[in-house]
Amino acid sequence: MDLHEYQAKRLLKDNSIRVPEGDVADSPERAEQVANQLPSESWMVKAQILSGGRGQGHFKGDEMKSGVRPAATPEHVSTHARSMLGRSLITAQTGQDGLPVREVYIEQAMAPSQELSLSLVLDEANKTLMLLLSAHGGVAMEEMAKKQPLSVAKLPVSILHGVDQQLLADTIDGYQLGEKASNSFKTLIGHAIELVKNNDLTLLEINPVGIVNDECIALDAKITVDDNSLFRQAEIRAIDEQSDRVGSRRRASKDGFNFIQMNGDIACMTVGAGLSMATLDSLVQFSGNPANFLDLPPDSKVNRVTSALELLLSNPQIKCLLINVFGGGIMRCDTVSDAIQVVNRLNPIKVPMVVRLAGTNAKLANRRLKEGVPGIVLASNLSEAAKLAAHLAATPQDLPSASESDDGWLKKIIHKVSH
Amino acid sequence: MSILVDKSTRVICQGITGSQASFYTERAISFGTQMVGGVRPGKGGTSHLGLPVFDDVSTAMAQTGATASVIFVPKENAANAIIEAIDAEMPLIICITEHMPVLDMVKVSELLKNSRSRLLGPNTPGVITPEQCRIGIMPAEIFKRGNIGIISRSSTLTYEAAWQTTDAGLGQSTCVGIGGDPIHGLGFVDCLEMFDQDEETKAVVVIGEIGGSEEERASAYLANGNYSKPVLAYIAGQHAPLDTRMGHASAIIKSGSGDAVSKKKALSSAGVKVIESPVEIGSSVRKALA
Repeated sequence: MDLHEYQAKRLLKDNSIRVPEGDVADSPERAEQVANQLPSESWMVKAQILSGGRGQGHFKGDEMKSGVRPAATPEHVSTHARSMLGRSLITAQTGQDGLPVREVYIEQAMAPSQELSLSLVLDEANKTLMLLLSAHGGVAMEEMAKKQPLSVAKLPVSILHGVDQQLLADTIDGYQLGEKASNSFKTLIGHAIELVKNNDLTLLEINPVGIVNDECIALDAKITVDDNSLFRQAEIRAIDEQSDRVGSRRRASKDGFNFIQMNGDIACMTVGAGLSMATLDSLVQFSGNPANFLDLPPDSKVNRVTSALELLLSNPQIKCLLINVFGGGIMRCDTVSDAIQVVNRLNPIKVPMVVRLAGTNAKLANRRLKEGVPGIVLASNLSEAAKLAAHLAATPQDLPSASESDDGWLKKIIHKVSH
Repeated sequence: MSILVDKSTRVICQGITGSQASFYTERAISFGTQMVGGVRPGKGGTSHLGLPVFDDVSTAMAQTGATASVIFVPKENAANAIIEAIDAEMPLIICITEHMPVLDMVKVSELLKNSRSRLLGPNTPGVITPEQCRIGIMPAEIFKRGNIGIISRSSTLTYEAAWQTTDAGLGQSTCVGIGGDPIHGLGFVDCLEMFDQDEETKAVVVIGEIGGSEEERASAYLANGNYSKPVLAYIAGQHAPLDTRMGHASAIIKSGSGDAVSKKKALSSAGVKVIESPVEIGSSVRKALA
């Protein structure tokens, strides 16, 4: 789960890391009010979307206006807020539609004498946390990292013993910040490591860290929290619920399954991420166009499979439904066949349906489907299922007629597809 | 021969009294796995499914001579369960639990480094040596004793690969799910090393997927050309939408890797036969052994 900048900065502040004074606003009026209350002569207005590159981004229909702007008066703050709120901000990371801005963050403008950056990331290959430090901040840091990868220092962080203090001191001494600023940076790094450990962060990026009067201040912040840790992170849960009310966060797995919309016409339902990806791969191999990726967790009960099916069938683009489930573990194939029958009884499924069930209770489930859902096509393996689904989406008139035997029809179509 | 588990493996289950643990322990017993006990703090001295229950792993090991432990403890306590097994010097730990906090796994990985234990998982379907030992949640009926070693990141694709090799008349020596979590115990390289030494295994199938760097590390390991048997690989997610962009910092560590194309290229240049389609796993292996 990603946090908005203002949420991330609150978390930093609560954990002894200095940030500029600021507050969030969802209207131009409120934005002006916030500016008036801040002890500052000039302000920054920052669009709150869950994407990087906001400063270099632009608003849909307005190439000139960026997502991060300075303002000299509270009236300017209000004007900027008005031109951001309710519109979509496009950045290098959002895709061409951009992301809608529902809140802006107003903070005191800072004039740092120097910018640095730090990140704490998971290094999966080395199974450790890694502290990344650079003597450059902002866009300059990214450019330097590309041109001279060695300009970014990588220091392993042990969960049990922290970071090697000598290595850290040597690295920071190399930046020649002066004693006071160096100490301030070290202190900030210490707080950042504690913050990551105590709040189960999988990413903390402070870029840039600004040096103002020899003191380090987090000028921007990006935080990702481990979704699996929310059971023990009450503060983060509260932020999550608040964001949910504002509607500013896309929740991928709200219904208990992973769903990604795509552009094709074959709806796909599978259990397990690996088999879901493989199902899309084989559909494309036989010239089919997947309409989505849908991965049900193996502990799904009939009602979750039912709601997944209903979501898929609500897409008017689809011409075929492909279900590929390998029963194993706690997932049994009859759970899937029961869900298909429930959905079909409530609202008969009108598109051709190709189902491949294997593993635990596959025979039982196939028998139930054959008896209970007329017209359903039962495939015996992944290859057959993908071929049939791709063919039926393109050629719906090839569905079996009532007079044909299932086996005879299947042989005929497979023969047709293979030649 | 086989890797990791065989008919001499003696298994205890941590969290044995839970509903999932009970379900799979019963199945393991009927499969023929040597289940020798279970652990559930506070229930020591009782019995469950005809097996003795102990308060902690070290007592269970001392009393039963267990050489492997399977963990069905909920994610909130799974890390503690693994650490308890590491402290007891359990040789093989298999953690089925899904959705463990990733920093818990960073800590577990640090503790594993200087330990006597090997960890499979978390978020793994487990390991099976057909007709000898099954630990975990794999559906036994699709496996057949044979000569193919299978290593996979995905549970359901382990089943698919196993079923296709069974259907092709080949069968498996051992099938290992290394788990789908970003930080996990044994990886592709560890399993490849074991299969290399295993006389019964004639070919190895690696089932990878997009993201992470397991496939790249396997390629680096195989690139010297000293591997003694054919290795085949399928990478899932060749047509998956790739819109989940990482933060800047993680992009620095991972730049140039992670997508299916680069993984296939790395494997292929290391001498691995890349299987383009998931429907061709069985037939490709048969061809490689012909």
